[in-house]
Amino acid sequence: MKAISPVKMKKENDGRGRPKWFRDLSAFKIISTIILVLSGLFFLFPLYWIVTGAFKSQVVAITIPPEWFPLNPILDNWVILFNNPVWRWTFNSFFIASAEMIAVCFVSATAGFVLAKKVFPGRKLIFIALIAAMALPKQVILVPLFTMLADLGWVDTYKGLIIPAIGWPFGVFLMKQFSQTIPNELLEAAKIDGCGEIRSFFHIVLPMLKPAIGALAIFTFMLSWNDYFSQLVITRSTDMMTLPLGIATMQGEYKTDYGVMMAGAALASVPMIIIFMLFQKSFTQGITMGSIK
Amino acid sequence: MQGSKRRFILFIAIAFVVSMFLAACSEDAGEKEKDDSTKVPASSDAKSVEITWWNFPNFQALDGEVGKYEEGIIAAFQEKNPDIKVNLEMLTFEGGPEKLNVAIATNTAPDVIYDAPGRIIDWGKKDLLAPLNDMMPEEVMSDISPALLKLSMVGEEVFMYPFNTGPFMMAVNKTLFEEIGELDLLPLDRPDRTWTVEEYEKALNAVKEKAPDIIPSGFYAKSVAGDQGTRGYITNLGGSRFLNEDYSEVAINSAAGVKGLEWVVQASRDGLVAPGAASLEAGDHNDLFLQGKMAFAINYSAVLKSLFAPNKTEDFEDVLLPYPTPDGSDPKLEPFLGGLAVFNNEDDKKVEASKKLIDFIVNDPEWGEKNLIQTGGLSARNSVTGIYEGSEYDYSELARKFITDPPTTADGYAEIRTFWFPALQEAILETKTPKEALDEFAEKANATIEKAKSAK
Amino acid sequence: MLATIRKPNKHKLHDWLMSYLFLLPALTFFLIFVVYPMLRGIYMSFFDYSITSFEFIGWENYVTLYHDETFHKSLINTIVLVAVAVPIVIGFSIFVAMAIYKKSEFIRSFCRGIFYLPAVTSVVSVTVVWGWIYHPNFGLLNYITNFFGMEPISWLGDPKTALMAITVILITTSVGQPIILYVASLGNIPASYIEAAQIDRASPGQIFRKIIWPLLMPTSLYVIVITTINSFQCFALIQLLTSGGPIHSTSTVMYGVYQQAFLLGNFGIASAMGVILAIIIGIISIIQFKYLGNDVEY
Repeated sequence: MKAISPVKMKKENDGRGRPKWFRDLSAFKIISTIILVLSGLFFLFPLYWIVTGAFKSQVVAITIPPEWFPLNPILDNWVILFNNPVWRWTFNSFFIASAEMIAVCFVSATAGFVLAKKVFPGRKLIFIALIAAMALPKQVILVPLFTMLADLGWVDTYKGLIIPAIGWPFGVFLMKQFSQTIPNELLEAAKIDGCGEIRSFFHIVLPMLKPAIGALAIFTFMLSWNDYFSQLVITRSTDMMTLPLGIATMQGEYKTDYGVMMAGAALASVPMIIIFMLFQKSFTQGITMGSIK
Repeated sequence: MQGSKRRFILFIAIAFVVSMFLAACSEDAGEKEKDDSTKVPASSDAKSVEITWWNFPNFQALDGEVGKYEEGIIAAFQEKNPDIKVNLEMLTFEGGPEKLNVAIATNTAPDVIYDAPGRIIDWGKKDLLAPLNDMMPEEVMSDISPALLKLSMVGEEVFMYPFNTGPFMMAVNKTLFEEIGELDLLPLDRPDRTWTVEEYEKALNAVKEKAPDIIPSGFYAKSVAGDQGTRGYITNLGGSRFLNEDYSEVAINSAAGVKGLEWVVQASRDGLVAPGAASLEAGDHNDLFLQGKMAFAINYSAVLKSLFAPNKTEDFEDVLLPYPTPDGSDPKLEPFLGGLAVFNNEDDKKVEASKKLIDFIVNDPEWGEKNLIQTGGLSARNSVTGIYEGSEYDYSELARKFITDPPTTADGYAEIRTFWFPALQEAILETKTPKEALDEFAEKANATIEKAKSAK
Repeated sequence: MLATIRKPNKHKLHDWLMSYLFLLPALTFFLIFVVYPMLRGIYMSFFDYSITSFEFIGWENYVTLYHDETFHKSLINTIVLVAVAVPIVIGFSIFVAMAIYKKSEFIRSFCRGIFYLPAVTSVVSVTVVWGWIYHPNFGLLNYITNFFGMEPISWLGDPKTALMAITVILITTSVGQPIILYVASLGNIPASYIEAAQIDRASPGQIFRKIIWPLLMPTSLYVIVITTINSFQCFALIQLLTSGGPIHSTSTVMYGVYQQAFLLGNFGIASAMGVILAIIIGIISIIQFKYLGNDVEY
């Protein structure tokens, strides 16, 4: 006790020395940490339940009081799951999501930057059109879109699954909002140095947008990975199914095999989480200010 | 900073390379397919034909692999018909109907579909299907009960080739009644197992008293799925029809029908029905039964019994029962019916090939019976009996005499059923009296029938 | 930079051309795969378009909806859902972002990860878990409330609780993205701004209102607009958990669009619903831009 008391004393002195807001902030910190931890557990629970449920039998999965941890873990669910072309489905999901991600990041970065930083006729109109399009429910355009894909012969192809999604304007909107934080002085300086538009985009704008592009990459990947409904309508054959669709085929009309569903859900979610955890750090750093210094 | 930057670039690089590689692969695959499609007609002239078969999981999956059993059928079929190529695409109950609607609206419907009358007859009325009358000679027609034929036809035209059937009824956990020593309360000693509402109530109360942990019975009204169960239950409890004889008007809002629904509401109040029925789906309700937590299930059949077998989490004997009626007279059971239909995609050769496939699935000497057993259903033909062992199948065959004409083929039925479960919810949650709820249902449904009739 | 100096017309033209070139890829995909189907969707809303018919009927779809009680109820439910969910999502994500953005990289990553989990996990599986949590007979929530002596409630089966039960799930699936964006934006606020204010003895509330909130504005605008649109379009949760019931108490416009188009095959009336929904979202977005966007240059 004695050893730490000086430190403690010092802190208290500091606290007393500082204005009132500092003490308030400490209280705020304690409360906020508690709320943070509790809500974190709350958010973690569904995933925890999915992953553990994948190793439970049908009986155990839905008993009350709940079995908080699988006491007799079984692999049956996974055996049933892997009797199906799960690898092919995973590949499809991954391929479609990656292709969409790359394309969306590219077209959004260029368009978002221009919309934020350039003045040209039609700018406002284009921006309003983008927002208006986002407002329209995707389900409404699905039928005309599908007719189009059928005419193009793109039903049940990777093209049909990937290309239409590139047009969705969320990415442009996000990129525009973030491009606005790029200081104009930087761009002007580049211009004075005789830097061409394309060069200054790649050498100045892109590095500064990097974290935002990273975030957009994650969002696009996730959106595509979980885009159950469009994929349902566009795919036909078992070979073209994505993971969520494939897993849904295992569900009966009047029965749900919880264990297998959970195994499938775990399989569909865990790769996402790993990718997210690995790369989010570099994706989501400070956006601009850090790089000006 | 440096490290994360490198990692970022690495990730983008990997993702890019991988997707380029994959893109290359998929290009290859695409080209290969194209090659195939150009090769096939070249080698076997104009004789060969390619058809698409969309199937719901009607057959039990082999080794848990979706579509494996169907591939077996197709392989055998193509061996006998080398000039026909069948592409199988599996549908899901969750999402399959939506996919069909989009496909039909955009002229990309399949050639063959194995489904139930609800949707098939609707398509038949809209002139989307090819008639199958030439597949149904007199001796076949006379071998199928009129109630099932009514379900397969529009006017004089047959649009669905009926295959597997079985009456929908209820089921009881017999083991539970043995344990509480009240087996006498069930009508199992009577050959046709018919019973009265009063006897049923006694059985429910016995469960409530002697096995308080077990919910006596269930009900569900969350969605349209399994509505034959709630329909059959209420119509029999009250002794009413759902629609009138010629399907021109709703009949369930009659005094008898109201009595049926009132019974359910009263039983809910008395704690004889699982709470929360308004948010339970047919499947949730069946789960409760299969987990041994509920004594009676109201949506059951021989087909479902065999389908559910692997999902039973308690070891108990599930026994089929007809719905009780007020006076113990014969119940009226709606049949489950599965059958195949051919979309008229304006290509006679495809239609002919599709009919061959249907004929093979249902009537092939080797595969027909095997396929039937894989569905767990009884044959739609009266002459085909005794393909299963066991008292429940015997009973199921006996109960075929109780089969009635279900309302699923009425005009505008697809829309009518969307009014049914909200009406049940109103009654169960007691925001309306059963009479008000059913009257409101009748009003909406009658308007729909009229609209659908006048649109014809 | 923007036209501060009068430049010769040639440069301006070149500038414009460059801008269009940069926009070209995005606009191409957007026009072909979003705008064209969108216009066709609007066109379809004037037709009796079902599986078998395609007949021009003018405003009749809209008139039908105007008189349809279920549609009115869906509209109200949708607005309630948005009005409850959006402020909570914004408030909660700013709270979490404020609480973690100064913490160590590890804690930040960890928290961002956890709050993004429900959005990462596929909707179908999340709803299975929530369906069990809310189960009237064997649900976790009733099991817990039972300890406090509460009677079991049918959370999704009671019109009084169903919509709120759905809203809770919607919120958990919506906060991930805003938190990531807010943490990034907060990291961009120069520490010197806040330190200066602290020296001036500004209260935390003042610091937040006068410094942090305005600097977060571009992000907030994005988050608010996106969350509003997503909440308006909430549908998978409803389809999987309640099918719009009980007694239409969780039916939203989006669910109506889905039901009419894909379950009943009435594409015309579904398109009309979609158009009405888009107009409502559009008006709200414009208000949000006007009200929140005046500090933001766009």
